[in-house]
Amino acid sequence: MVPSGDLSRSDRIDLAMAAPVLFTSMLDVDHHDTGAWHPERSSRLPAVQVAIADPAVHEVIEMAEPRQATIDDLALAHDASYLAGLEQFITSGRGELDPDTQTSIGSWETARWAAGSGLAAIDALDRGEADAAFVAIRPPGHHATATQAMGFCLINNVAVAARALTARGQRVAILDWDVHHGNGTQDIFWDDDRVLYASIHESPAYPGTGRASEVGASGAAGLTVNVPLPAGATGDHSLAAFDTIIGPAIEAFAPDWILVSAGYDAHRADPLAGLAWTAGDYGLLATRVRSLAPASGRTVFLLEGGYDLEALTSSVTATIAAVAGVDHETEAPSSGGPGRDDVIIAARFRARALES
Amino acid sequence: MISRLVIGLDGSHGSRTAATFAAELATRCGASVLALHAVGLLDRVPSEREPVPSHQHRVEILNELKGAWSEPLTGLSPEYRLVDGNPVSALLRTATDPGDVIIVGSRGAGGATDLGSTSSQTAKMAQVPVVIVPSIDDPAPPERAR
Repeated sequence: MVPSGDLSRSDRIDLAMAAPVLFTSMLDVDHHDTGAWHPERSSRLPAVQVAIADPAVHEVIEMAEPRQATIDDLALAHDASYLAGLEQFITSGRGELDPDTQTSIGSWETARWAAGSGLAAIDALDRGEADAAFVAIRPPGHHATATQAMGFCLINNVAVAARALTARGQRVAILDWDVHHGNGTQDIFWDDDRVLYASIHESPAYPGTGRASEVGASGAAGLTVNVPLPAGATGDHSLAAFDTIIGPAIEAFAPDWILVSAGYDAHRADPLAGLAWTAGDYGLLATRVRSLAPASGRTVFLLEGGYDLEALTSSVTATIAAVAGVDHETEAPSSGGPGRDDVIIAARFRARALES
Repeated sequence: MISRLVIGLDGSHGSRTAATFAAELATRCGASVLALHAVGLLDRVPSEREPVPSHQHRVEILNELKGAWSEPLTGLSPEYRLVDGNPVSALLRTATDPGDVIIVGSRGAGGATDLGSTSSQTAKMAQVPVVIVPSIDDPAPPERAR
């Protein structure tokens, strides 16, 4: 178990020992216009760009080009009829898929870049270009089901990447630390025994799914792991959830790859949710992910939510610093909020799932 | 037998029209009414205001749901419920009993695809009967109920 504490003390590693981190951004091909006031807005990607300019991590970044997903790529996780309808809806100029989910004329092409960027990162890691990858993309994806866009999400980017890996016979663990439960990802892999889906999220909250009792279909029971936390929960409880539930689940599953649905809206400054994490908490979680990496070059972080731009910047920097193993001064980890009992309850459901 | 009407309300003209229809149907068939609002991601971020704390915004929405949004249902003692999710998923997850009927308004915005239409998607995926109530002022042809 990795002890919690100050990231700057626990992860002091000489820069010469730092692991390179691949960084892919679709900043130059982002034409998904949701409107000036929408929280899932174009300025999020420049905020991530600021994160990698931080001197603490700048030297470890290896830039990689994004690519656009093909329809066949997208069909790994979505119904063909949904994809055809989505393209038609967007390119016909209609804008509102649901009260949350806006599109513009460029959204279809942008969504294809987002999904393809995860695939490009996997290709680059396959070539040995880095030890891990961070993929800065929008729109986010984890709410999109095989047949439905929702919650700002059009294409489920992490599901497309996971299916590309399982298609070549590999096992994938998806850790979703976005503050909202990834209902779409859970739904897509509900009965898939090649993919472990684990989520830490606020509850009750959008989208209303992700109870600890949701553990997967009979053929894949125990391969869905949910840890719902109450509003105000601090990072110490997410770390406890990782150490006692999610980490052991990933270890037991023995994946070939770990994909992280890396949302940053659990940060205490985020306007859309109520958890109380800090950038330091993201660093500690990323350290744990790094410790479980199946092998060098087998970990990909894909951006999901995160709507306070300063929090997004600092939290992404903390993540990349932790993955690279470099020293980085950041916000102190949070502790003392509610959530302890919820982790215990989730652990009981996990134990029951393993017994069944 | 129709035992409960599940109606989605959001304060729009279409949802008020649906509420008016639901009130009449509930009276005629003696069904109870569950009025729900799907709490989306943006419910918490009003365009002209600062984000509001989670508990506070839910109280505000619930008050709206119990008040102006469900005014046509006054006298029927409906159950009110906030359901996290988008309107389609909220209706589908709530209306699961054999006697449930979903009532949903239509803005007449349907195109060649169901995407973007709560009423069309709900009708397509629901396991219970769905009544789609077109908006009175809507120039688009009414969608068929099933």
